[in-house]
Amino acid sequence: MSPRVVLPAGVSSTSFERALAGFQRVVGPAYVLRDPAQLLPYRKIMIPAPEDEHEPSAAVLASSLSEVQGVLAVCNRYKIPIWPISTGRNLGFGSAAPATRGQVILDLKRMDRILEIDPVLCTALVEPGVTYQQLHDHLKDRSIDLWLDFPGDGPLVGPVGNTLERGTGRTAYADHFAHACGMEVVLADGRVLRTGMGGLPNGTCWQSFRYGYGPYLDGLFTQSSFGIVTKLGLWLMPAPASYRTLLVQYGRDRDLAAAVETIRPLRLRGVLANPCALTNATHMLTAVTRRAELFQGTGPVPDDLVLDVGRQHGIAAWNATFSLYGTPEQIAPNLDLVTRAFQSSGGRVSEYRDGSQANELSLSAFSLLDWVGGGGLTWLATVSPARGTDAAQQRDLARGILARYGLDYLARATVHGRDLHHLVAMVFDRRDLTAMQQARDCFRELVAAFTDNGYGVYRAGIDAMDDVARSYGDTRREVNRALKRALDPNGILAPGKSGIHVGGA
Amino acid sequence: MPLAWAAALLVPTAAQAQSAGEWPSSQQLWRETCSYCHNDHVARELRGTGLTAQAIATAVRSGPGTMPTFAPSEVSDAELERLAQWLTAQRKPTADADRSARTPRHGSRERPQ
Repeated sequence: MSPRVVLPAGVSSTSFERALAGFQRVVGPAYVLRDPAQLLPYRKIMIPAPEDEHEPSAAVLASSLSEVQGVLAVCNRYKIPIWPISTGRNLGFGSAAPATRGQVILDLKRMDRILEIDPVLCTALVEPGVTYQQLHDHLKDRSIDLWLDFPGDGPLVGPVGNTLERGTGRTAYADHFAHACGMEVVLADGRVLRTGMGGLPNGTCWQSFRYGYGPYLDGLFTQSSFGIVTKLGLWLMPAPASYRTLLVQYGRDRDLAAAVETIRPLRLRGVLANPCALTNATHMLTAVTRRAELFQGTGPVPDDLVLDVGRQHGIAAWNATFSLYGTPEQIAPNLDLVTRAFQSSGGRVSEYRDGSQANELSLSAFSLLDWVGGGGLTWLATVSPARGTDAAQQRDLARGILARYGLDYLARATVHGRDLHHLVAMVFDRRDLTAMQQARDCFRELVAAFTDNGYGVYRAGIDAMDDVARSYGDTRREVNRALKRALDPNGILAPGKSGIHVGGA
Repeated sequence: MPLAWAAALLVPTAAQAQSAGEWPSSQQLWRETCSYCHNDHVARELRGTGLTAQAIATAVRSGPGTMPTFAPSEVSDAELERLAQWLTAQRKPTADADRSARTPRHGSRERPQ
């Protein structure tokens, strides 16, 4: 046995060994990993926290619903906390690592069946281990003309994990949870719940009608620890007859407000089918250069240098992209309308290519990580009303705090509809412990400042979950705790996820 | 609705791309996982560089620098050995071949037009 053993909190080594033996009886010895070397893939994190704080004690690789139930029985018996993952790539939010040290990873990657595709109703039913790449290939091989919507790390992640985190993509189906329909959930006691229309034995609408009857339970299983989702229904976008992707560029940083004011009504009136992402110049520059190639000083790269180099690469202060989908006859009037609207607001409109808005998988987004190198990334994900004034305030707040910590403001503000998602990428060198501590302090200050200004965090990493949960008030936490105690009294499912704990006042 | 659509109602399938960690071929593993980054844009080209199986296994499992990690549930140890053999057998792409291989889906560092 390795001399270095990590144990789940409150679990003796005797109980842990018995639990591991129990897991081996369920999934087979080859699929229970407990050696530190074997756990490396689950241990690596990008967030500004030491790996020790989130180190798993073991990993169990389950391949079926019955194996998941068997694992849960062992966990309940020995009070072993498990952290379920699908692909384990919640990059910048904790990757595969658990919220608290010592949890056992429940790796569901082996559950990778695409169970059903309905090309008429344009739906799919998939297991947690299915990746967007796998689903993309599956559809293409069968000439099923349905598009996927995926986040920046598309090929390496899957719809179940991303949807349960309420992640977003770039097409008209960007809001992944809004386009999920029907779940199968294994509860902590092993019972199987099918949500929506899934409870009916001969049901016909499990993937076509989301709500079912009575309380809409699906939301309980997103960003939470109330159950393990083992099947998820997806709505897929029929491939459009054609599409045009456009780029609208604004030359001045202060044009952000006008851009948002222009986009919002176009979204609310259905002229723009997909959310419109506004990326700032520094963020765009990460695709073509590295910080060290541009600037050797400390502190953020000066604005005039960013804009100057940006101009050489065809990058402006703010760069908005979106697509119009439909037949050419449908697109033409909308194209005319949006072009005039953006031009009136001071934007320069041009044709653009962006595969992520057109069903093309890519990892080009990873070039963001090379801005500084060193493997550090954490996302500040906050939301504001889709007003220009709010966008400007968020920008100023973020930029000011980041600058005091010597960090660049790498931002993408996406106007969804009535809401604007302000996603700030904090990249830093994890190998430099001082830089990592700075990033950690900066992030905490950002969360506090944004919360104080009414811009809540909508998605948080494992190192920030308790803080963010507190920001939503005591009643919310008490309700979550009551649900947790009812559904998982032994507290075995992902303790600490979204700041939800069984214990505590 | 057209007859073709009616006939295509509900395609049930228990298909999976591969058994846990196993891939139909090293070429597919390379194309659908590694080459998204290892194309001399996001990260360096690896074909024909003589990387050992040990070096590949270490990098894949531990994720050096900005590289993500890959657990055995996604790529098995045996698959990594096969990948190493396949990579060594590949010729290092020439500049021309590499340029044409940069298909849009790999999303190389394209800048706006």
